[in-house]
Amino acid sequence: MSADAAAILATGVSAGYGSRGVLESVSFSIRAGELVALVGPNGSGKSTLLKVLAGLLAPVAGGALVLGGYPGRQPRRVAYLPQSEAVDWTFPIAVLDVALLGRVPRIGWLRGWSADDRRHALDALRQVGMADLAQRQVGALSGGQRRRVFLARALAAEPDLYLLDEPVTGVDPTTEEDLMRLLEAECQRGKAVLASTHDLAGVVSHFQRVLCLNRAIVADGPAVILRDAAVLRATYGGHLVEVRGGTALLMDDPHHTAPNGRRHA
Amino acid sequence: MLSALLDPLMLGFMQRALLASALVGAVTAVVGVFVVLRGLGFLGDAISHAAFPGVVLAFLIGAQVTLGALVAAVGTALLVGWVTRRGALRADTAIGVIFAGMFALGVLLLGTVRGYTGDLMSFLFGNVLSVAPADLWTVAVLGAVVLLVVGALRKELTFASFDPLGARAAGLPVGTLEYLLLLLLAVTIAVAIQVVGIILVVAMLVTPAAAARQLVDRLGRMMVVAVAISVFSSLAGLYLSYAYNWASGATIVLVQSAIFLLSLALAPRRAAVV
Repeated sequence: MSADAAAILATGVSAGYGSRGVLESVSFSIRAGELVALVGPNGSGKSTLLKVLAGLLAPVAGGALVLGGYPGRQPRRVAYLPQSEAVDWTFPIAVLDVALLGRVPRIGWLRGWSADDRRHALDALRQVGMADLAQRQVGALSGGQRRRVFLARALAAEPDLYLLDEPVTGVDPTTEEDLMRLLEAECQRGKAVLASTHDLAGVVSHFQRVLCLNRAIVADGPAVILRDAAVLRATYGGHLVEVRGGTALLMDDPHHTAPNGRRHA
Repeated sequence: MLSALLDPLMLGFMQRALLASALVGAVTAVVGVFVVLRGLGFLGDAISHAAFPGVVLAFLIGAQVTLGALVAAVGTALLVGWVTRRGALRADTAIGVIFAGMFALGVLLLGTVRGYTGDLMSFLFGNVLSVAPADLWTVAVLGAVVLLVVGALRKELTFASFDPLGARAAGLPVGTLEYLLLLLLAVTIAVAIQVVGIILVVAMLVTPAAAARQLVDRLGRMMVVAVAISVFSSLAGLYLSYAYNWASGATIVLVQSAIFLLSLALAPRRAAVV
C-alpha cells in the first residue's frame, strides 16, 4: 500500500437499522498511516459507521471503499474490534484462544493453528501486557483487561486497517497510554487506525486527527479542535462539554462523569 | 458383580442397546455443548417434538423411525431458521408456533390408525431395547457425520458463537454456520429419539453439557467431560434399567440428572460471570 493511498474513502454514506436512520450522508477519507479518533454522543452513529466500514451493515445510500475495495471483502487486511456488549463473555474460552481468533482470516477452513499463529497471538498478548493471563478464562477478566485481549486479537491479525469500537473504554490511564503507543507504532508502520472513544482528553493527547460525528460529520480536523467550544457544542448538542488544558469535562450527566473526564458505562 | 456386568452382554438386544445408547450419548453431548453455550435448549426440545409426525409416518409405512424423525426434524430446523430470520417475531414465539403445530399433526396422524396407541409410549419415551441392526447402522453413520462436521468446523463455530460480529468481520459466513448448527442439532435429535424418545431428548442435549460446564471452562475440555458423563450415563442407565426392569430412556436421563446435581456440588467457586 503506498503511503498516500486512501485506507478509507466514504462518500455520502447513509445507514441505519430497519426504518431507523442513523448515519446521514457521511463523507471523509483516511490515509494509510493516520491515527484517527471517532467521537460523538451515544446514538451518534459511531458503531454504525464502523460496522458499515467492516462490511457488517450495508449502507442505504452512498458507499465506502476500504483499502480500495468494498467493505468486508478483504477480511485479512482489516481488524474489527466490536463493542463489548456484542460478545458472549460466559463462553468457555481462554485468553490465548481469543487472540488466536485474530488469525482465522489467514488460515482458512479445516486447518488448525500453526506454531507461527501461536507465536503471533502470544506476541500480541505480550504487547498489551496480557501474556501472564494467557490461560485465564476470558470472562474472568475485568472490563479493561477484556478490551486489551481484543486489541491483542486485532494485533495478531496483522491488518493494514484497524476499525476499533471503544478500544480503551474501561482501561486504566497507565494502560491506556501503553495501548495508544502501540497504535501509534502501528501507524508509523503505515497502518491506519479509526477508533471510537468517549475519552476526549485522550484524543487530544494521543490522536493526530478527530472525526466528530453526530449522525453526520460535524467536524474533521486535528485533535486539538476538541478544545474549541463551538466544535464541542456542534458535536454534543445541548450537553456542555469543555476540554481545558488537556482535560475533558463531559457535564451532561454529573453522576456518571469522573473528574478525569472518563465516562463510566 | 462381574456376572451382573457380563450377563446382559450375552443378549443380542442388550449389545445393540448398549452400543446405540453410548453412540447417541457421545453425539448428543458434543452438539449439546453448543446447545448449552448458545441457549438453544428450548429449540432442541421443540425440534424433537416437531419430529413426531415424521416418527409416526415412518412407523406407519414401515420405515426406520430415525429416518422419519430426520426428515421432520431437519425440515423444522430450517423452517425455524427461516421464520426467525425474516419475520418480525422473537425466536421463541416462532419456535412455539411451529413445534406445537407439528406435534399436533403427529397426534392427528397417530389417531387415524386404530390399535397403535400402545406404541405411543415408545415414540414418546423411546425404546432402545428394540434397536435393530439396521437402526444401529443409521445411528452410527449419522452420528459420525455430525462429529466430523463439528470437529472440522470447531474454530469457526467457536468464533461465531463467542463473537458473531467479529467473526463476520473476519470473513466467516456466520448466517450459514447458524443454519449448519441447526442442521446438526436436527440430525442429532433424530438419532437420539430412538434411545430416549421425543420427550426426553432435550435432557440428552443439555444435561451432560451443563454438568461439564460446571466443572471446566474450556470448550475442548467441556466436550470431553460432557461425552464422558453422557456415555457413562447411557451405559449405567441401561444396566440399571435391565437389573430393576425400569424404563431405559428415563433411567438414562435420571443418571444424567444425578451427575448434574453432583457437578453443581463439586463445581469450583467462580466469580459471577456477566
